[in-house]
Amino acid sequence: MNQRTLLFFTVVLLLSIGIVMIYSTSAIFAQERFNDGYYYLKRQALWIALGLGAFAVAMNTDYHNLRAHSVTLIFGSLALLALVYVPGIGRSAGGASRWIRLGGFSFQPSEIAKLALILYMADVMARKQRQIDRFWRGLAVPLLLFGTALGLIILQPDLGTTILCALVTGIMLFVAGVRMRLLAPLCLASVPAIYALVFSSHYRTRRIMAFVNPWADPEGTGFQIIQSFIALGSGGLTGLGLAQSRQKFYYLPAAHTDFIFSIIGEELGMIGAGIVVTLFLAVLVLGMRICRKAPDFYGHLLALGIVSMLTLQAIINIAVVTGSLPTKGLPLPFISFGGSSMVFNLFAVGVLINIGRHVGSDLAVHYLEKREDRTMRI
Amino acid sequence: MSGNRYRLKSNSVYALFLLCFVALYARLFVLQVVRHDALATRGEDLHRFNVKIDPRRGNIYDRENRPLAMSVRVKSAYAVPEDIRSPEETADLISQCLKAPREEVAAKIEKKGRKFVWLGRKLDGRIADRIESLQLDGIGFREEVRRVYPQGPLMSHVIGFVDIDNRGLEGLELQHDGAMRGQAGWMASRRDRKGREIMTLRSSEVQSIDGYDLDLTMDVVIQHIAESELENGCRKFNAVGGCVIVMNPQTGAILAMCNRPTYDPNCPSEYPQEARRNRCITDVYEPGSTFKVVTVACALDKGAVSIDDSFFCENGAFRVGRHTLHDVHKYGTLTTAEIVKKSSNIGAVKIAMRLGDRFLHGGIRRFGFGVPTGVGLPGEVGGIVHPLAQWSGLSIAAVPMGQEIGVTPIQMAAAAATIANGGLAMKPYIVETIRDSSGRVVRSFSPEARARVISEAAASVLARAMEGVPTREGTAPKAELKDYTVAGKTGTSQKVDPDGRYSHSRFVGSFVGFAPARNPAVLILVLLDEPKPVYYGGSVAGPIFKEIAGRVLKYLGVPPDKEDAGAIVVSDTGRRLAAARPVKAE
Repeated sequence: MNQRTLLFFTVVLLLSIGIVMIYSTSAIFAQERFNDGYYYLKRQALWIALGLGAFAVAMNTDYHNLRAHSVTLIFGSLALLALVYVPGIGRSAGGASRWIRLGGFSFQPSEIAKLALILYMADVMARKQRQIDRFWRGLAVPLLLFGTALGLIILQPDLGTTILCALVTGIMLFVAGVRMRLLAPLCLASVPAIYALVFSSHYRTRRIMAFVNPWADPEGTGFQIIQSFIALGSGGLTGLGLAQSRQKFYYLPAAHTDFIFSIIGEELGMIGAGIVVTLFLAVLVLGMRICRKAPDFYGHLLALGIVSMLTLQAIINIAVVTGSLPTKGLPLPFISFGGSSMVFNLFAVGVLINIGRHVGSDLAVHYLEKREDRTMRI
Repeated sequence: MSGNRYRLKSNSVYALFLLCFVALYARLFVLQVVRHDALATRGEDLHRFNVKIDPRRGNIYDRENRPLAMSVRVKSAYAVPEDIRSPEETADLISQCLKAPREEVAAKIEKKGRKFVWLGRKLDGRIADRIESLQLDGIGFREEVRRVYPQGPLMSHVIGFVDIDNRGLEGLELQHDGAMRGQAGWMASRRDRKGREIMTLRSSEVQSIDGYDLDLTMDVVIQHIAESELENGCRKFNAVGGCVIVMNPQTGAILAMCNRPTYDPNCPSEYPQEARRNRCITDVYEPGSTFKVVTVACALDKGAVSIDDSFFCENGAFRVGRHTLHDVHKYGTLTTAEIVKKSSNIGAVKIAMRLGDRFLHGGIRRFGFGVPTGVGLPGEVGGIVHPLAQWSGLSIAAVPMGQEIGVTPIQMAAAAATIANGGLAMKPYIVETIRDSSGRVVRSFSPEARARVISEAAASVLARAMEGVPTREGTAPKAELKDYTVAGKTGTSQKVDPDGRYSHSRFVGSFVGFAPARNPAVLILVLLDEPKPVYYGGSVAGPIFKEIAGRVLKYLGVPPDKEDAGAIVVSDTGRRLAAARPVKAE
């Protein structure tokens, strides 16, 4: 089996584990709330079907064709991010405005923005290789767009996605060859900004405090993380058995979304949780192989961005539920319940596999040259 | 920029990611293996709970198997204050459903930090359903067993009642609490965060054992007759209280026992404590003239007097020491039987004087006065019989006519029943059998002869003399029955005022009698406390006796024993057959 097939099956395995665990964690809640135990399962299945469609399209579209649309995409997603704040279109929940209503469904523009940023950064960095060390001629415009997107996401507020986007973009800039003398001040500048953000909001301060010592307030701020510890710890090595979780009975909030990994650990033990981690490791390894063998610099950057995004999301999510990072609202890719992230993550995997198809292709190199001759200012 | 350089940079990013994965594995190992025991224990503490399974408390049935006390499963509502999202709205809705003051409900649900507060226990089904249909956050239900008394106030003093936790507090509920309570079961299970049981995770279970049922000797119909007639009598004669005891003198089985004032055991707290007292066994009164039958019985049994002996009744005034005895009507010479019939105080005292105080005292004790009858109800008292050593010179002129002695209504009924039963005292009893929930008899109580108190001959002549009481010449003409012969005795006693003297306005009027006189099926004691303005036992208790006895005997299907009554009952065909039969005896 080649790497592309392996990658595909790894993702399919993650999806399978996800759909089983979605049902296990949400059935009781769904039965009580919607009088239908399959409520979340059915929706997740629909999103996976949509996602696989997006995956098929991406896999069969030459990734170079995406380059032509990267500027349109970045502006489009900035517009969508702005729409979140328009009354009547945007939808708020839990004190955050993250969704746009679309017919009967809601979708999260930050998910498309994430992908658009990667596509755009890969394109612009590949094009501006020669001006990469020049701030005004090279980095100013991409950084401005990047900053605008980040600003819109952070205002929602969605610190998790903001940090994820910043990290992925940072990695891409670093690999693209931006000198440390340009990158370092940017990183330094972000430190007080992050500090201000964290301590300006009461709930973020509490999350940090809960992270530092959850047992100080086990009934309040530390509650969710302690419940997550109990779930994982109760699972032990082999777990309580599928569907045997006790913590899913309202003890652990967001059991079918951001904290689904805790229930996996409780029901399937360290073995099950370890398998999930290993599958994400496989996504990283296989993704990096594609990345290294990408036929051109654009493909390399694009693959790196996608792999970083998927892996970082998984790492951050699992680090949060194991108490290794403060709580952020990030879902576990391919497993947590959530429509927009499922569709765009699968689309991203499709792009990655398409890059893998072009390994060793001369045509691609020719394509790259042709594109770089074109005069695009942005 | 060379390809190698960016490959190197990607590889360093790659390596960093790989490090992160190593850290994740390590973290999982720490949480899931190293800290497994501590965290799993913490989880167990959170999820596990033991549920007590309430047993079904035993039912109480009358002798025709009609339910008197039952247990039904009902719902109780509780609140988990910290789960209530909108306390204002919740308080409004709950107080509407429970019809309770809003502030009271609000105070309960606003107790922050409390995990559990009862809102209403053992609710009516309709109220519980209404609250449940509101689907409020933080409001839950628990199933409990509620005690229900389908007959309401009927027999309330005998049955008693239970507290909110189904512990017997009065009457049979208290007396047989241990038998009826049953044994609670328990189960270990797990609960969700809202405190509800997760049925699929129930781990172990010990079944509860239902309590035993009681079958009584009492009868709802007879009780109803007694209660309604007592009620009418109390109203008619403005009595502050009253008692009726109906028993079978041949077995000692209590058929009815009622008191006024009364209460409803379904809501005992709504009644004053004095209404909940079973006066038949707890109240001591001076029996007055009804006690003369005891005096005469002892004298006849000892052979001190015979039923035809004559006594000079001093024309209504007889001086004993410094005290002068009076009769209500002035009598010259009366026979023993006539003394009973006319209830002469002077006659009774003269009989007692012939018997002597030692034998009188001994006889009184043999009749069972001074000790509880052991009818099987809590709180029964023994009455007051002063020891012989404490008798004064005047006692022999007081005790024979029912003064200087304290008895309970059940003692007086049991003593009269002894005479009705040919001198053999049967122990009064209420509980016939105790059965488990499958119907197996755990314990049964059969009629128990306590003692032979007087000879059969003495009892039968006395009973014959007592037949004279409910006649035009006797003291209770209003107690006479049309269809049945009645033997009885009236009593009117003065209550004692707070200053220790006999009252001239507060009396106890009573009548105790049995029918049919020669083969008694029922013995009935009727007592009215402070009837006004009429207070003579024959006038106030007599008619009540008559009504109860007439209806009860008919209900029991006892054949009439009066000659003229036979003619009414026997049909035309029967009479013709009787007439046609040749008379061989002559």
